[in-house]
Amino acid sequence: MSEDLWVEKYRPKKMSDVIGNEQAKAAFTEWLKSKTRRKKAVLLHGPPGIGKTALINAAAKDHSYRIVEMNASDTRTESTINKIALPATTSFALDEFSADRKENLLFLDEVDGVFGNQDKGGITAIVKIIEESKIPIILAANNVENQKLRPLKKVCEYIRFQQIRTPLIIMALQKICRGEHVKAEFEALEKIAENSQGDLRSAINDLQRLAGDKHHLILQDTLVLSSRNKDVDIYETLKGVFLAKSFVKALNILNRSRVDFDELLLSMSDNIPNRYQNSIELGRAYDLVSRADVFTGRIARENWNLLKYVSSYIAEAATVNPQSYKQFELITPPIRIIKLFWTRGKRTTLDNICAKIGHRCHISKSTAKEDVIPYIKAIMQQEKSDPLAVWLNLEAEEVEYIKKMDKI
Amino acid sequence: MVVLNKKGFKLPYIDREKFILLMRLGCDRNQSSFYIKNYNNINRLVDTISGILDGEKVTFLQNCLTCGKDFACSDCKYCDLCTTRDLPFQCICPQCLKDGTSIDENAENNDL
Repeated sequence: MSEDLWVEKYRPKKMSDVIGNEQAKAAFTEWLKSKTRRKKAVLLHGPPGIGKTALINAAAKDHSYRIVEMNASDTRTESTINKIALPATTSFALDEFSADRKENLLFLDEVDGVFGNQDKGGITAIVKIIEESKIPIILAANNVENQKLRPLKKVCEYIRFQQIRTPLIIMALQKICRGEHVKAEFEALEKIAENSQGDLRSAINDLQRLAGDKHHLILQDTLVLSSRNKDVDIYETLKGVFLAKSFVKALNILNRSRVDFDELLLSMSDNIPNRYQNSIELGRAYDLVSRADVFTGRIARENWNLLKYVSSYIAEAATVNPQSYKQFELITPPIRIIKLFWTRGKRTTLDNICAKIGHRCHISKSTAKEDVIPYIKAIMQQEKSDPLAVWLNLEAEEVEYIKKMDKI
Repeated sequence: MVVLNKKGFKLPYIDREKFILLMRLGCDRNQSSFYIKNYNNINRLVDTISGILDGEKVTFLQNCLTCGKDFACSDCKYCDLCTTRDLPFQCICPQCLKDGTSIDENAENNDL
């Protein structure tokens, strides 16, 4: 086998060589070329092996940038980031008047991996650098749904990359085969492309593994390929299970999913009324979701062998009548979680009031909430609030909050 | 089933909330028609458009990167596996894939 890895050998040299994601490429080019950027940084996100890093490297060549890169192999604590990235983003090089001068471009790869004690303060440092930077900053991540990446949303423009379509992967493999003088059966390339599930990098690696030595490839050679399981997010999971034509297909999607089953159950119960118009089907689906919920409770922390029943009930609930599927607007994240998010301020205020009452009356917060607050509300609504508020040490806003409370 | 053109499509009257939602999801308005400006939330956008059209299945024609022709996802034998089925992204039409014409070759032919 040749020494070079084909993924490196055939890495795109210019932006037009990058396959797929035409719209994302156009959006990225527009951002890079723009003199007045709305946001100083851009975050390219999408599954692995679809050309995010390749596009950045090719763009740097096309537009004459020098890349200063930090990736997952570096420790990315606040101090390390400040040590490497801050000088690159705020200072100017001495070759400013040289004809070959290249402007710096900071590239932070796999930012969704900047977590834990090892990378403490990493995200905060990145946000600070973006705010103070004089050069373009590009970030790449596989999954941006993580709560810890939320601060980046304010300072970064998000560009989503999709999986590469199978025909495009086949075409890329054909090109490599021509370059490497490999005689490959079309069906074999088709099999490799399908197995890669939109991941061009893994498809090229598979091709090299199977055909690198012998310069010919037949369909039989691809039998050794093991199937790749890709993680599926909540939106794709919901869409997949509702679209599934059979119980088994829905179950396969759930088995590949990375979602939290508690969140999935909430989303299922939100979306089922839109999915089933028939009341009998709707009732059956809710019954199955409730059974799944019972088993989720029984799993607790250790009985993970029961997870298969949860998946089965959810898959069955999604395929009560596959023929009746009609496209509808999916509700995610779950309404309950959204409501909890919107009412967090109110709940915090109520919690503080209950704590003050509890402290003064020597009772628990829950007792204060259930037994005492209704009386305090009644007293305060009769404009006798001042002495009581002083005694309980309540702020003016808290008094107003109690007066306007509908119910607890 | 409703086939839309990503460069411009018309929708029936929509209320203010739906209009704002469309704009947030990446749609924009150009005189009398809508077009897709941002593809980050394309799945949700298509679902929302489908909701506006009373649950009609919404599909977009695909554009072949090699020959430039438009074609439907249903013509492609890989569409069942495709995560971006019926969404407005470029692809390779079955004919070009069968012929084995690469994008580079086609570009060279066009230059000549």
